[in-house]
Amino acid sequence: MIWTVITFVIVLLVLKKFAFGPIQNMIDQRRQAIAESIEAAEETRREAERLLAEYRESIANAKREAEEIIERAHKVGESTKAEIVEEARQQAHKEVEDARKQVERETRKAIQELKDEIAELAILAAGKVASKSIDREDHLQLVNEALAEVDFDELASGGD
Amino acid sequence: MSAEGGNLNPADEFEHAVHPISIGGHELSFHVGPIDMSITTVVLYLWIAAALVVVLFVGLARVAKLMPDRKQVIIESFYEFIRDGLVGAAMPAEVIKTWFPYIATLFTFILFNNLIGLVPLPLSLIDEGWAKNLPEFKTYAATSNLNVTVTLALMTFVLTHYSGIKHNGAFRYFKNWVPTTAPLVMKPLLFILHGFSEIFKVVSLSVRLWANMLAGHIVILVFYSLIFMLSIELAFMALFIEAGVVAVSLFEIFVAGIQAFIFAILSAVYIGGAIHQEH
Repeated sequence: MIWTVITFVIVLLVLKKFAFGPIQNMIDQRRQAIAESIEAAEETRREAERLLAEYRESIANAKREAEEIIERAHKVGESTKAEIVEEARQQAHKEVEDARKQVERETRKAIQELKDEIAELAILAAGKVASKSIDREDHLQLVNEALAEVDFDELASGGD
Repeated sequence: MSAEGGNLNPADEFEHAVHPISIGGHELSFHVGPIDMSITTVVLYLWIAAALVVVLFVGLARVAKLMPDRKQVIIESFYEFIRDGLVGAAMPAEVIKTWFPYIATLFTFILFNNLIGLVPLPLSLIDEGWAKNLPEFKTYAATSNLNVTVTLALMTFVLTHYSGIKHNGAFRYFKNWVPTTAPLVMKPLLFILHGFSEIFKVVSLSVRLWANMLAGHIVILVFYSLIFMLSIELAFMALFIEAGVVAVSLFEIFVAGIQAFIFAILSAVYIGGAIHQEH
């Protein structure tokens, strides 16, 4: 009977000091560690979410900027194209105009030359016919008067 | 089994346990004043159980790590079962910390005493016949000795009233034994009745454990006795009987746990009830 008490009390004291205490400590420590881990994980998750949101925003911004740049480039291209086309058109127009003027000038010149030639020929012919009845100056006067009545413009436009 | 032939008597098997052990002819019989401190088989079994409990718990607690391995998980589950399922369920929250070591030790100590009662141990030598001086494997549980269970129950009894008086003061504690609404003439009678009920708590605690453990061993021994009694043109009958022993032993493991649990949780309830008295 006394041995039961002695044995029991020894077991009680030993367990209390060397088993229950350390086990409870270990459980408390583990609870603490787990709580800390959960807290840290939560913190990391929040950080990750924040970063993700940030990246999403910057990606959206970049996209929008890219679109703007493309849009702007597009517009610039359009206007450049229009400009070039317009310039080309003007250039072409100018060249056509120049060419026309050139032709006109050449025509006029040719007509003038033709007039002179005809006058010369007529004087020559008339000289031969009239055998110096009138002098050369009078002759030229007469021919020019006659030629003025001839409408060379019509001739020129017909040859245009 | 010490019995020769057909004369195994289950009732005799427990007689030897309370006699002092002899080593080399010297009886380990000690007396300190009126107190008998002899080393008997009962004491030996108490020590074996105590050593197992201490080695197991302290050993595992010493190597406890933050990241537990399997053994540690088992021991911690066991620990938390006692803390939350046994002490926590039966005692007021503020005294759990104080009383946990006592209740937990009670539970584990009784549990291991019950369980090693199912393991045949060679603690003595066969004293006669052809196998003289060979180790004799016997099963015995310290908790199948009434002295042990009464002692354990008395510890709970003393601690119950000690903590009741400590928490409530002696006068209020004993006053609360009697309902305040009772008629004055009935109060002394009710007080005496309550006193009896306190004493019978000791009886019920101790006898329940003792009788359960003893009965389990007797049933197992009766099965073995049948082998000798039916002896044994019918040798194969022994196989059936052995199967019966296995079945009863399995049931006894369950009983060992249940009885340890009942003893511990009732102790917790009694102590908790004395601290937080019903008025």
